[in-house]
Amino acid sequence: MLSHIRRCFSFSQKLTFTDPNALKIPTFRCIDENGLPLKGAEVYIDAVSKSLLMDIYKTMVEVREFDTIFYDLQRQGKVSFYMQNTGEEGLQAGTAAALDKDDWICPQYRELGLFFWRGFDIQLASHQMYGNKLDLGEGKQMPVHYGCNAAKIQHVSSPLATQIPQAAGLGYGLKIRGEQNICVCFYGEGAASEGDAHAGLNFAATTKAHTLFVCRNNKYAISTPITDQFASDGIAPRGVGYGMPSIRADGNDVFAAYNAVKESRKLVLSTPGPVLLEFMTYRVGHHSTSDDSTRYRTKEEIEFYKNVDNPILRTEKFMMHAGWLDFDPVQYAKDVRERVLKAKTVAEHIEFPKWTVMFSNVYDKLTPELERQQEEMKKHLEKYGDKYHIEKHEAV
Amino acid sequence: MQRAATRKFSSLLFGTSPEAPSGVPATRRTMLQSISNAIDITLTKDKTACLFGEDIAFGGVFRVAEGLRQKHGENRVFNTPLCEQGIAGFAIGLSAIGITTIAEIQFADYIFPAFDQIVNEAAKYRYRSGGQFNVGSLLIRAPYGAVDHGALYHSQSPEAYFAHTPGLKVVIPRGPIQAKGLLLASIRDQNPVLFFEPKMLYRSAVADVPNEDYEIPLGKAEILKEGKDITLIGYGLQLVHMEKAMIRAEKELKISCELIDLRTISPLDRETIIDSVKKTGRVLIAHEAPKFGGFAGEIATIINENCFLHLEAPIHRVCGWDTPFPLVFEKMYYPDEHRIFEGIKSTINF
Repeated sequence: MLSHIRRCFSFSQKLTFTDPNALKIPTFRCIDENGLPLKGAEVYIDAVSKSLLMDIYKTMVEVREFDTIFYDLQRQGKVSFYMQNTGEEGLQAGTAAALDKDDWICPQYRELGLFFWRGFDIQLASHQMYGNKLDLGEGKQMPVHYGCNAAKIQHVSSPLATQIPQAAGLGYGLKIRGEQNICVCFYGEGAASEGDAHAGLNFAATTKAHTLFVCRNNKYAISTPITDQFASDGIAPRGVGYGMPSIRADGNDVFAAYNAVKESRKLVLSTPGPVLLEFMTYRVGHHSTSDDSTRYRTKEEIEFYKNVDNPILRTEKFMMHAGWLDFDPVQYAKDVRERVLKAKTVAEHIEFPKWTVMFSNVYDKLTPELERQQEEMKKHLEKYGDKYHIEKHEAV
Repeated sequence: MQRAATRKFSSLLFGTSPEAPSGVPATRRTMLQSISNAIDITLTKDKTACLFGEDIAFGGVFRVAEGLRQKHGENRVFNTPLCEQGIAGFAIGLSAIGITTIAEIQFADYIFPAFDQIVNEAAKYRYRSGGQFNVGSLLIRAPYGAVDHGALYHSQSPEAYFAHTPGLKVVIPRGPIQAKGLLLASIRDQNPVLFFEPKMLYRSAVADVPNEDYEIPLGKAEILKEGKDITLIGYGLQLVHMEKAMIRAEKELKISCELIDLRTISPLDRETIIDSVKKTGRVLIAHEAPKFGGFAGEIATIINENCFLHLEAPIHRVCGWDTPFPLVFEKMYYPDEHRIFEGIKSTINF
């Protein structure tokens, strides 16, 4: 036991401190901001075929168009809330493409591309936006709080970072069941400051869980810039501190995203144990529709990530250089927009769930007390149903 | 030690419950051994079930997990880092894919860093996903309540905080036989359950616990003794003090008391309470937790709403004072035989 405890440490007669920037982890990147392949990255670029890149592109454009339309709908007062993914579509689609379909995902709330990739499509997302009776979440949560068992994506919840220790547990469960699958946990660099982030990474490391932590460093937590969020070299070195392999990659470069996740996944399963991957990206949109980001950052900064270091534009430029751009991106986007508008029109005309759904799924079955309260509400609605727009709900 | 314990407590409390099997092979067990036995049965029958928490690998600070790691393997019985929010979050993730999960919080006093995970996540997991996901296979155990020398941070009774949250079940056993049956039912219940164990009784409560696998249903109170003049409602360790007060009151005041063990705090068995109070017309509720905002207030309201015209006296609450749980004042802090006796007397003489 003594040697077991002592072997972790070594001795030195030099009184030296370790420089906090000793690691300075570089950002893995395959194409530059003009979409041009970088020297030495050929093998990673070759790993993405034309058809795979087209699937990634399609998902990114779906996310962008969905964002645009629902952001506008919120501004017009048609939906109550929205959160854009703009600027982060690349890491979403690149990650989705690199995973096995049976890998689990624990999302934060800005990962719509993962949902689209896995079959939770524009229509299902639209139903959720309206909380109608076809919303898989039964109209219980705010817009953008998606979740889909069939797609193996756990449900979004508003409290930040709670999914991080959960992903450690889920990844551990996959390991003890002997499954060759991983759990991927998304969180932002702001959520990385929560206690749950520390808990989750440390638990995953000590239990050697099948968990890949993906931190989206998008530079802002609502209005708080990274300079007020941490004094370290970003998030990636923290993984090293917890004893797990860690890497930083360019989240706006779909080739970097795809390859980094592919290799991380292999490493999680072969070790076995967790890996931390930090994606450098940028939140081009506001935090949510309740936020005006021009009050705390410059237009110039936003424009750079909107028009230059943008994952969709960089992918299009790569396609052009590679001779793969055999379609008109403007027309392509227009077609996607039509699909979103159609799905939105379908969703907004579907009624809300039955009023009794309010009481369901608190427990596996109604408790006697909930039965009594439901009965009390029923009597109240018989008298005052018109005050609650009961006609907008599916009939009981 | 065991003999001293049997002398200390009556057979009424640590006798059997109607739902537990009778006339079957049984072993004399402390409450600790009984809880350990229930976990052992679970780990034996369910090959991916896990038990974990701080210091669990060597058996846990109270020795609940003694021998279980050797028997069931280090992948399923293990230490966690010292972090309650991590324990709860990790447990939620495991149970989200259907793995039977028994997580220990070393003392109920330290459950608060895990409050967000329990209240915002575990409790709402099913509701927020429209029933697509659930953590029904999750059970969180924690020793709670007075222990003679625990003071502020090793004595608290936090049940009311959790009973206030829809989606959770809260269970508190009173003795070894109930601990086993309720724990097995709680582990298998398809909802997240918080299981608070009265640690004062861990070694002092002893009973002949059936060896076999059995369950005592959740959401069902037990009438320990029928009576006609006053209803006494409690749970966990308080029942020990209530029983003593009851014996004295029956003798000195020439009355008959009905004693109810709630067993499950949430969901609450309202019918048993209401039927009893309608019969007796008088009621005393006791708990160790502070009075203000305590669970007794909820019970009192239910009685008021349902038994108003049957009441012969105001509903009487005997609770911990609205102070933190103090060290050298402990015996004056929680409801004991004397305070409960006085409560019964004033309610009878109202």
